[in-house]
Amino acid sequence: MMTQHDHGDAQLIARVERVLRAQPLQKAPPDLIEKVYQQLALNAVRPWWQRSYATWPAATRAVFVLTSLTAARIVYWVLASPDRYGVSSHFMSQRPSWLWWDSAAQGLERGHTLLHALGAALPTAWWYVGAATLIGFYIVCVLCGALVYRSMVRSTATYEGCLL
Amino acid sequence: MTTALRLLADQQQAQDVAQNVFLRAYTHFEMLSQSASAGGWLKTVTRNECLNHLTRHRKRWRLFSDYPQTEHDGPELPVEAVLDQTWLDGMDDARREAHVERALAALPQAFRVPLVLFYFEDLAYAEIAQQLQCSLAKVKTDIHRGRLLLAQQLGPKARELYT
Repeated sequence: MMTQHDHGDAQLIARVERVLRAQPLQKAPPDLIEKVYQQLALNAVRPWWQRSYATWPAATRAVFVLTSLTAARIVYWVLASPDRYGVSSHFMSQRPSWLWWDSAAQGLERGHTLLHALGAALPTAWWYVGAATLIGFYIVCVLCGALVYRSMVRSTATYEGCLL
Repeated sequence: MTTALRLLADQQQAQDVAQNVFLRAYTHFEMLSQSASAGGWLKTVTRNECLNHLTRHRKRWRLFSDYPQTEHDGPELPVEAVLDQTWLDGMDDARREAHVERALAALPQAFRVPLVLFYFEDLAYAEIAQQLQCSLAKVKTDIHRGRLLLAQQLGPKARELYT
């Protein structure tokens, strides 16, 4: 037996259905098709290497895979066992002194020494305070971003005339 | 475009989705031009693009927006009170259509999406549950609450805000 509440529900369903089903289709903005054509034209003149990998020529894809695998193998070969084939020592002894990694290595070494000295000189509590300050700044930055997004971006991005 | 607008409730995002769908249709032109179900393909792709967009957008902006708040926290009138109100009386066609679209767009996403899928995409409850990856009971509850909230939005108090 249908209660008054059920009757109300049925009425609500019928009224919502009537209202929503009567809604016509909405027109797309007139410039949409123009934008699509523009994008298609842009896609057509884009060189192959800027397109997705799936659309590259088959030969190029094969060369790319082979090159990547070879590069990965060489990196692994040098890093994992540098002295196995005498490559590292030979390479290091032959390298010219002006190459960039000399200065980079020196810089890294200096940084490491400085950090090591700092670590020995500063009390442990200072490190915790430093870490807490960094985390605090990070949280403040995220909250500021959220505030700006909520107050400026989101208010313009929502549907015009939003009630809620 | 209508599907995207109603699901996303955002003009710019709906345009972006519609543009993507047209671009995909162009790449599948050979197949679509010979298919009788091209319209259905377009609608399904649009719907899936919109749902993917909503999922991505929700994940990306979880912190910055109201998305975690899936429950409507405003006052909810009982069915009888909603039915006692007149909804769209005295409005001409254009204003009534715009009012309904605004009311729909104003619904929280958790209620708007299943409502749109049910009434405009003609999906069954089970299909909606499958698309939204939630339980059948939740879909039914959300659609019911969506109807109630929509009725509230269509009522005279909400209308006063526009006129």
